[in-house]
Order: sequence, then structure tokens, then C-alpha cells
Amino acid sequence: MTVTDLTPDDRSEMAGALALGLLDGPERASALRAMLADRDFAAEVERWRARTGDLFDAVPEVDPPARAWAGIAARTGDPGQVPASLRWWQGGAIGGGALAAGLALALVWQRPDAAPPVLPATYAVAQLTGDIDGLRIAARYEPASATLRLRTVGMPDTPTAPELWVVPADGIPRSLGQIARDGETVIVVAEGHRSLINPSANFALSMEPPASSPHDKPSAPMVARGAIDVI
Amino acid sequence: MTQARLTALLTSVAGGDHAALRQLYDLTSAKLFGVCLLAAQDRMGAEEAMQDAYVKIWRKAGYFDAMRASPIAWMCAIARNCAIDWRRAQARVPAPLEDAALDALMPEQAADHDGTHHLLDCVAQLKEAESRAVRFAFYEGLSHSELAARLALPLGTLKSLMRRAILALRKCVDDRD
Repeated sequence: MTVTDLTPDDRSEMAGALALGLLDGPERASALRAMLADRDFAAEVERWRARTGDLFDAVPEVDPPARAWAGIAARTGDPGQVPASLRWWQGGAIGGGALAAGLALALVWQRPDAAPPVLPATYAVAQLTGDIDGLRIAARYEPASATLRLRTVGMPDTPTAPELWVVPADGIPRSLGQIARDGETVIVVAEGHRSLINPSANFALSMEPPASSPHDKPSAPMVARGAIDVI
Repeated sequence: MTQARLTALLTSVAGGDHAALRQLYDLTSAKLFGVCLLAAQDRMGAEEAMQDAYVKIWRKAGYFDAMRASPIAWMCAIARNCAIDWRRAQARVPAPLEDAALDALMPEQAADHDGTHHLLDCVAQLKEAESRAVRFAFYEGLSHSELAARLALPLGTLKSLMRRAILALRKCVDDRD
């Protein structure tokens, strides 16, 4: 049966299915042959393809890891690739992939006419671990509300208090404040620190003298660290 | 990020302008990475696929035809195809999304707005099961048989569902034109 024998609905279905990528194997081969043989059918597939492009508007933006560009520059023979930028992306990759598993995507149905583009509905997450057996801190940051939620388990009893830091690619820790020794802490991240919470940064924890406001810099070594990932 | 700006950058990229590729990357990589994440269902895979996509864009920018597609849709389609290729090369069945992620994939009911001829609005107006199937098919790049497995439906049932969805979409778009 050729595509001209099909009812208009069958043809439209086949064109739509091809444009959406639903066809594989013999069905796909037959639809592709029909495109070559039948200009009207080919035009219908083209119309479908032009329409389906709209659907990408709903895909939330997610910043790729900083290291990704270097691979593209190398493969396209970019002469502007300088060692300094290589050092920078390598630095950003420390601890990367710690949370590569368990990827969950939240696709928002973004209005097509929303302009400028809305902040993507993503979370930054991290899991901090270190040398202290059993100490685990899970962090989840919601950019829309600048809210950082932490859950701490396995913190030993100490006279010091756990203080959380964000360490961006420049390596300088910025304090986000002290957190609960056990259970949940909610922090509204100060405006100046919000943009630092991205996949090229790490969270880190040091044990500091108890204080009601964040310290300027850590006085003790970091006891737990975790790479920030965006989901 | 205007279409005209992206089109101009693609023209420069077609001429071998490395700086233009970098600018294009800065403007569009978050979008393309998002597209790759959905279709690859894997973060490392998405990164690889996105890199492949920009290498392809570098080589094929001369084929971009502004009359036939918007520059971002053209680039997203390349990225999606790279991610689908990556996933198929892994020879693995995509892991099902968590329930919460499934819920997040459901669209809000489309409210009336400026009446542009937008396929998203038509997808949002489909019956829930159809709308979900169309979005899984498109964003994850699933074939009929993969989609049937993902949605736990018999292949025949899934094909009928997709047929109804496609014909409803065509009618919706035609009614608006």
C-alpha cells in the first residue's frame, strides 16, 4: 500500500507520528520512503516538524557543567582555548558527579509567551560527607524562594557548632550560617550568596565556635563536603 | 535572546567564526542541556549529547533555514536527536521517572491567552492520558513500542491513543489557523 492509498486521517497520523519520533523499524522506513515519493505527504511532515518545535518552549533550562564547553572547543578546533580556562573548568569539576545518579526532572509547563525566560524550576542538591563516620547532610536549594533545606544525621556531640559554607570555583568559602546538629535546618540564603549556589560550587561544613551570625571565614578545617548538582 | 540574534550567530558560525559559536553556546546551552537531560535521562549522557550537538551545529549551521524553523527549535531538535542516539547506544530501557516527576510533567490547564498558534496549547487541551503520551514521546524521544513499555499499555492500545492524540492536535492547530 502506498501513502496515496491512505485516508487523509491515516496520512496525517503517519506524518505526525514520524515528526514526533514515534516510528521506528519498518514503519519509519516506510514513512521516509513516502516522503520521497509523495510531495504532499512530505509537506505535511514538514508542517508537523515546524509545529513540534514549539514544544521545546516548555523545556526548563538547566545550566550544564562548566567543563562541558572545553570539549566542544577542542572538537571544533577553537584557537581561543587558553590554559587559564582549562584550569578553571578542571577546578569546577572537583567532586562532580557525586550526585549524578537519581536524576529527577521537573518539567514545568512554561507559558509560551512568558518573556523574559522564567527561572528554571530546578533544585540544587548536594550530599555532604566526610571522614566522620555516619555524618551525612543532605541539602536542597530552591532558587525561586532562595530557601536552603538541610537534613543532618550522625553529628557527634561537640562544644563547637556546624557551620555551612558554599565554596565556588574561586575556592573562597562564604558562610551560609550555622545549622542544627540534628534534623532539619531551613536557611534563607542571603542575596549576595544566591548566585554562588550552582553546579560549579561545593557545600562544605566546618566546626566553629557557636555564633548567631555567619563567620567571615572558617577557623577550622572542613569536615564534610559535597558537590552541588542541579536537578 | 531574540530569534534574529540567534540567526545572525548561526550565520557567523556557518562561516567558521569560533567566537560566535561561544556566544551561541552561552545563550543556548542551558536550554539544550535541559532538552538533552529529558531525552538522555542521564546527566553524563546529557553532557555528552549536548557536546555532540554543538559540534553538529558547528558543522551544519550552513543548513539552517530561518524560513523553515526558529533557530532555537532547530538547535533543540539536533540536541534531542543526539541525546536519543546516546540513549539508544546504551542499549538500556529508560528508568521510569519518579511519581513526583511524573506529576510535574503534567501541564497546567491552558488558559486563554494571546491566541498564537502554538502546539503547546493544543497539547495542554488533550485528554490527560493523550497529553502525557505526546509529551513522553516527544521529550524523551520514545518510539511507539518504547512508549507502550513506559506507560505500561499494550502496543495496540498505545497506538490508538496516539492516533487520537495526533488527529486531535491537527484539528486543534487547523482550527486556530
